[in-house]
Amino acid sequence: MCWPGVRQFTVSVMLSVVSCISGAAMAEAQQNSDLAVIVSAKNPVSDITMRELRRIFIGERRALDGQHDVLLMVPPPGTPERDIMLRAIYNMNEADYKNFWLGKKFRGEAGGEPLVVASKQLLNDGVAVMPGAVACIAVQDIRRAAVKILKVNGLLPGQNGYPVH
Amino acid sequence: MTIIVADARTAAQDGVAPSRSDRDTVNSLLQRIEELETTTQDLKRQVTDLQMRQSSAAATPLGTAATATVPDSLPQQAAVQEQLGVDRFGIHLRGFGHVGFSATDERRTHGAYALGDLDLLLTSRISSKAGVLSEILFEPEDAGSFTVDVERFLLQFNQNDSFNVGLGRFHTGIGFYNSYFHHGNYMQTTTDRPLMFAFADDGGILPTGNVGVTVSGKLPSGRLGLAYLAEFGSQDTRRTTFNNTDVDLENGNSTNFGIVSRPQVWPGVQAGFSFYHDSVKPSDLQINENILAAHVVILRQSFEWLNEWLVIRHAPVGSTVLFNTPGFYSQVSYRFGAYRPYFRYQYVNASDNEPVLGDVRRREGPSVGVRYDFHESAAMKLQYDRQFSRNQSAVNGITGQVAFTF
Repeated sequence: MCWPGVRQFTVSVMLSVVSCISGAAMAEAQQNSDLAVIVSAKNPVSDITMRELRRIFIGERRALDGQHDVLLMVPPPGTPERDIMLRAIYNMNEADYKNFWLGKKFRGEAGGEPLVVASKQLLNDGVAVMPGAVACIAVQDIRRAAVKILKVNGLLPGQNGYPVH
Repeated sequence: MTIIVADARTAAQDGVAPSRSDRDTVNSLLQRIEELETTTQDLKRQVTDLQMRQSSAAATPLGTAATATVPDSLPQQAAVQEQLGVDRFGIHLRGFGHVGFSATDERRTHGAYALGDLDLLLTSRISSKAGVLSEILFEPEDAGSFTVDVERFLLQFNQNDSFNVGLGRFHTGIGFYNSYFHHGNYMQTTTDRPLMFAFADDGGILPTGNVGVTVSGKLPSGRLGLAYLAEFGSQDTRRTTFNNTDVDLENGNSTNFGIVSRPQVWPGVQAGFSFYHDSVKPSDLQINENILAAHVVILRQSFEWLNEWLVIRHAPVGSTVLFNTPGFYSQVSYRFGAYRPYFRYQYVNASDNEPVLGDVRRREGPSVGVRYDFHESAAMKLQYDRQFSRNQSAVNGITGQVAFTF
């Protein structure tokens, strides 16, 4: 007589477990695909809008903290971080990105392209010690306490609605 | 556990005979205590080891240890900058070129292949706020010879978003096209520049180059995104007319002021106005030259819509006669993958009696074409033009071109 009840309970438990696992997996996947925007811990800015972030990455805004010129550090071509940056921030493909910066140099609007940094350690060190540095990096690759993750639209990587992913 | 053991031992001392099960319990607890003590000692050893490794890692060169922590001192900053190459102020070189074929149905002309300009763009940072930009043009002449022309040569100081100064030779900021596309044909959608922005040695009607000072920057205007431009200079424009004669315009000192708006709510949209003043002396006659230009453009990844209007006003000194030469063009294109079809209509109308631009007359007509980016650094363009001129029959032309950057 109690068999249907036990089965129902078992099914419920299994569904709960499955939903917990899948929810956790989705959250982890979301966090893994989120790209953190980091600056030096000494930088007074902690929060930025997506619009202002785009203006910084396309070279329209020259200083993040009002004092130091922005030094952009970007992941090398062919990496997942680069793909996320191009899609979420620039809304360009690799060829468009190259032509965009070529045009900026051509018109004398930029001295050079953003700095491509392949070494995660060097990226962390660079952002930590240079007050104007702004970089994109996967959250799990942040290794320095001297860097700070910027909130974008008030959200940190991993939070629902975080736009840089 | 210690309390339990203590209680057990106290009970034994009090003369209460412990049972066999109690003795077993006490023995197992004592054994457990020994195990925990061993584990604690191991953990302490590991903590000591980690502390020692961390302190030695801090003394190793940067980047050699994944968990290295670097003191944020100036020497360390310099070391990181050196590793990143931030302060390596070399010269960066980019080249542009094009080659193509063009033909018209004008009498006594025939189609011909032509090598375009070899355009070298040299840029160099000389400090974090200063740099040099140079554009050197190798223009093909008859019999395979080339002439060298330094089109832009500018020392730039970028103080902040609101104040940038350039000293040297630059392209005049009249309107939009002249200061946006310059010489590299690869950078523009069409095979040629609009007639009103053609360079003076191609029959152009504007003083496209200048030597002097250019100051530009953003204005505090919130979402309007206003920016200003002020230019002061001298130039010596040598114009090749449509009658194939060279005229030295003997320009005076010029001033140019402009204002543009790039509203933040409409990315890629720009509207602006500029006023240019100069004097020219193509013959014995001194002529005051004023140029008013306005533009509204939309430049996005896929969509491009350029609209510009201008009027060139020539007022001979000592005369009440004023010659107005209006012009405009509108160019629209949309990118579908690697293909970008485009359409342009242009119009320039100069009086036959105009003392400087009389050879231009009225010229207008459509251009239609397609640009195919077959490589990320090369594009093929095919363009058809139909041009109407005052007192002349319409001319049809076709141009094929491959433009590239390297």
